[in-house]
Amino acid sequence: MVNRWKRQAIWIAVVLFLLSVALVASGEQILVLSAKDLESYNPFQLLGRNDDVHVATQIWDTLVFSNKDDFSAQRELAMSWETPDAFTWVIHLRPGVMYQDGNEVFPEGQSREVVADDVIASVNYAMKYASNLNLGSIVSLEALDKYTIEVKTDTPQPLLLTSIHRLGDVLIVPPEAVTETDTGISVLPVGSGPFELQSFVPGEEAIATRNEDYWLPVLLDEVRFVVIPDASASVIALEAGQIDVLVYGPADEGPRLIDEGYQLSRRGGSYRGVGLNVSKPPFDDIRVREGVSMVLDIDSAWQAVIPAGFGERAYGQVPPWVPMGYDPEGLKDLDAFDIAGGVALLNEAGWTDSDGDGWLDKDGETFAIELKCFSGAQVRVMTILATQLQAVGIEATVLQQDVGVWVDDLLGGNTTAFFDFSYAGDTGLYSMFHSTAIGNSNTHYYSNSEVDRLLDQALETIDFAERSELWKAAQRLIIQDRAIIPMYFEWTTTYVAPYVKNWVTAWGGGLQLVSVENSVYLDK
Amino acid sequence: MTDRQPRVRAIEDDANDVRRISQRKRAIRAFFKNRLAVIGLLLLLGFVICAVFAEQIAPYDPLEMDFQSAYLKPGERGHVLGTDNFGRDILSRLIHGSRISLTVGLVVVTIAAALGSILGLLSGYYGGVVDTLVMRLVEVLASFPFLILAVAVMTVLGPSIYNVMLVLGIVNWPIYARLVRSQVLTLRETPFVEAARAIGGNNARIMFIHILPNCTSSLIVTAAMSMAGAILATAALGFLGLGVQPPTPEWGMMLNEGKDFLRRAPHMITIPGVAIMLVVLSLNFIGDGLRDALDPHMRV
Amino acid sequence: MLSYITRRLLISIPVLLGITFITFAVLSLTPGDPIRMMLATEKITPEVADTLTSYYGLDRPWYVQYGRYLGNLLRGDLGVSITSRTSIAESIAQRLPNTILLAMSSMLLALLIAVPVGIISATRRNSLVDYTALTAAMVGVSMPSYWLGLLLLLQFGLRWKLLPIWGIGHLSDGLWDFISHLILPSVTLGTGLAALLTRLTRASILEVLSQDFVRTARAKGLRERVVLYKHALRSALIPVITTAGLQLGYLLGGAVIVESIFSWPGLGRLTIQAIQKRDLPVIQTSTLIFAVAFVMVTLLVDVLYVFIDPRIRYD
Repeated sequence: MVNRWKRQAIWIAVVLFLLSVALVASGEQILVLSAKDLESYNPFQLLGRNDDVHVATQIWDTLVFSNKDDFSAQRELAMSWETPDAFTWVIHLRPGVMYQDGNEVFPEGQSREVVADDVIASVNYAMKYASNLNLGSIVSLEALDKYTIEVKTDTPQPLLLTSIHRLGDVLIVPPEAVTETDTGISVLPVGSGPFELQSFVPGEEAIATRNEDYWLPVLLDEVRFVVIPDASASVIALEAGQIDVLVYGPADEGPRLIDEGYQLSRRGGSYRGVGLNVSKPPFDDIRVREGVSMVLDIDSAWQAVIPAGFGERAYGQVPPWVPMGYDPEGLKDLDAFDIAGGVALLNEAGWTDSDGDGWLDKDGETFAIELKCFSGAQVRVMTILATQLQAVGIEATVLQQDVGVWVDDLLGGNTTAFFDFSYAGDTGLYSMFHSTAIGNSNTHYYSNSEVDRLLDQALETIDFAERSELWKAAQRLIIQDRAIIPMYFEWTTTYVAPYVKNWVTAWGGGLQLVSVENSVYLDK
Repeated sequence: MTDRQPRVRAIEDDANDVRRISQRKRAIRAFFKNRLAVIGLLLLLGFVICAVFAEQIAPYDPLEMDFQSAYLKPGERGHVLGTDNFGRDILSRLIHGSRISLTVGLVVVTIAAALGSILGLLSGYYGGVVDTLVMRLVEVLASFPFLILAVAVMTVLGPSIYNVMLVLGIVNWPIYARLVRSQVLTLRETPFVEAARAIGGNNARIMFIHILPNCTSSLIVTAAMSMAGAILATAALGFLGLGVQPPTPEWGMMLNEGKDFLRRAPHMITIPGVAIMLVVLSLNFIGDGLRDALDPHMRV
Repeated sequence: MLSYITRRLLISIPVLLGITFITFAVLSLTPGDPIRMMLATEKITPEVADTLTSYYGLDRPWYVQYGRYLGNLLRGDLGVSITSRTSIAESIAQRLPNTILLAMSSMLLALLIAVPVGIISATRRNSLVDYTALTAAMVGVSMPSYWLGLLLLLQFGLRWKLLPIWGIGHLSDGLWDFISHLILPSVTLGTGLAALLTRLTRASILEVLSQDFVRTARAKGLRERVVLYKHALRSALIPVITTAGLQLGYLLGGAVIVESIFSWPGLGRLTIQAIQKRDLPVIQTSTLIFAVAFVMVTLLVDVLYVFIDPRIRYD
């Protein structure tokens, strides 16, 4: 009896050992990436600003991707393109790119090529469902032949293909995989991309394996996205070797991780500032807005939170990577940190400590504001600002909200001062400050007819330099009106383990694991 | 017979008083014989002194930031417990934070005990529909996972110290209701209550003057224990970012802020955690001691 | 017995109804509309938002929504998540077993610690061992569990790199993979319970040892060990097991924070995520599942108790 047990135990041990040897010997190339959240891989529905886009871009290809260095468009499905006139784009597709097979849409060996009609269908779906994409200027799409598409726009669109959230970001899907229903669009995970989706569990993980027939060499066997919502846990997971890539990691840990040999890949950079609701007291008074922006020591506040090299001081809303309107030199003089001067302005506006309780008041009401904010490093910046405001007698506290409530409060104007951020590129000023966007994306409730005029004029201006000047002028007016107090642009940082080779992070779009420029592999 | 009634009552009352006083003395003596309970009491006293005299005791301003001396380890540059990521003195923040934890604990227990006792009294005394309604409500609340209910209600009300008190008060009252109800059920049939009823005492008077005082010892024990629970829960909400908001120093919030600096400054989470543990521990010791002294029959 | 169970089940119906109602009421007061949220973050177009709003009936008065919800519930239709558009029944089926696994392993851990320590503590009353165990138990009860979790994560995950700190292990990747993922979350979740049960075991054994039947056994000249293990222990453990059972419900709820810290793919994390995204149907259902689990466990413990109870006296 005892012997039998022993023998069985030995057999089991041998089998387990052999299994593990087999696994190690095969040297499977599995790349594990962290995600904050996964909601859906649907290319037209949920391509917002989260990790979903990274999963989707492994399954589907885009026409172009942005080069990491100079922001120029690189070929992907599009081989070449030209603009015969200011209103027309002609795009030539790469012939011979096949959709993935062995799935619900295309049985094994029965796949087909990506053709012009697929592009047209995909752009149409995107125009109908993907509201994060800015495609409104397209008036017609036509297939000139199997591999050639002609796109016409109502206004000149020099950045149509290359700017983020434009045509270059549309994922090309086979219409066979698409079903339109009354609540939206559902798409089976079949595309022409380098990886085939094996499983997708919202909020947990997504696993995709190599597309053996991809037109470029794919060196990884499997890509696995795992959700680790807690930022510090994800850093620890990276350092403990449990994940290979920490996508959008916290900046504070950056310098240390770089010292430890991790590769850093930076991209984008989004605007962060303090937004003021100019339609309601106390900030409906320019003197109060001006006073508050003068008492805040923005430089020391953001530098205490964002390490050097992970961000840049912002003097306006337009970030450095947007090719028009970025203007630190022209706006710098509007930043005037001067506590005494700021307090004087607040006093002039009627806010004084008349009852001696240490807080400013006016007409019997204390100057108390909640800085509305959602969780992240910005809570720390806002905590510093709240402390600075308390020091001059403004009873400021940070209010951490769920993103949803924050958005709701901002759109509804249920705010005084709030954390303000934007990824918006060449549409940012218009959507954030044009009076027609009040209650929609103009959360400052800001309205200035001169700014409206400049922005409208810029929309119709063909000359690029001229358009940029109009933007700069509008931006200067906005900052002068103190609708926002710009703080900093924060780079989006990704930390990559040293043994992950050929890593490239594109500016826009998804993770670029396989492209004409690179193919990621592991060298452990 | 009837004219003797008041005198009998007076004598009975006197006897009760004598018994109560000697009982109280015995209980106090038993409590102070319990070493752990005394340690708990001293610890709690320390926290209370910190809370009351925070301004005088704290070596630094709990809000003052100094980015040059951020992440100091305990003992460095005159900061006994070190500094946080903003260079704020952790000891001073703990001392000021004790004010919030103790206040919230006390208020929560008061709300919960008041609400729970009244509902428990009504439910036990009147029985019938009132009883059914109250007890079903108790069951409903007890079947909710506490944190999920608290998180949901906090998101409705918005994070603030008053809402924390309110939410925890609402979540905690069923323990008291159950306790008081069960006592009322037994007391209702005792001779002194029947006597009180026989001489025409009105219901409110019977409930509050005759029955409730007999529940006090178990109420006090439960209060000590549930105050410990309330302080833990306040910190949990702070940890989730739903409690007291920055820059106010609150222990759970301090843990929340320290969580992002696990590597660089682990003392930012160890120290507030120890503070929470000590205050909860002291209350638990006191609760244990009180139970043994007042009510030896109550179980853990 | 059967009538007792039936009666209890009938009583639990209004309780569960009350829970659905309270959840519904709280949620309908909650600021933040999931669809407006998706609209504002540019995940859907205004047209889709309108369709979704009417699909989920969010434009109807709350009582209509509630009625519709109850109706669907009775038909066994748990609905579709607003944010991920996947079947709620499916995501709950994926996560509930993970939460149960975590709760059970925490419970097992707690019992494995609590019972032996409680026995030793009780048999050597007032010794150094007893005091140490009692103090340790008190510390265990007083510790915030998420704090313990962070400390464990720091020490075992990062400094010593001994154990994985996120996610769940799979048996297909080997037994160690499965167990190692379970250790940190279970210890975090189980410590408080272990402490509580240790105290209870000790108190319960002390009480039983002072009872008549034990004294009789002793008087008959039985050895102390036999008295303890054959007579006292069996009856002493009944309240321990009962409490442990009741605590199982609390463990399920306590998993909320632990699951977030260790990225455990359980129901608690699903619920918190859903609350953050205001995914109303998901919150509604997962809260109900928690409550049903709680009610069922309580009932089960009570039924077991009724079975065991009469035998205690005559054993």
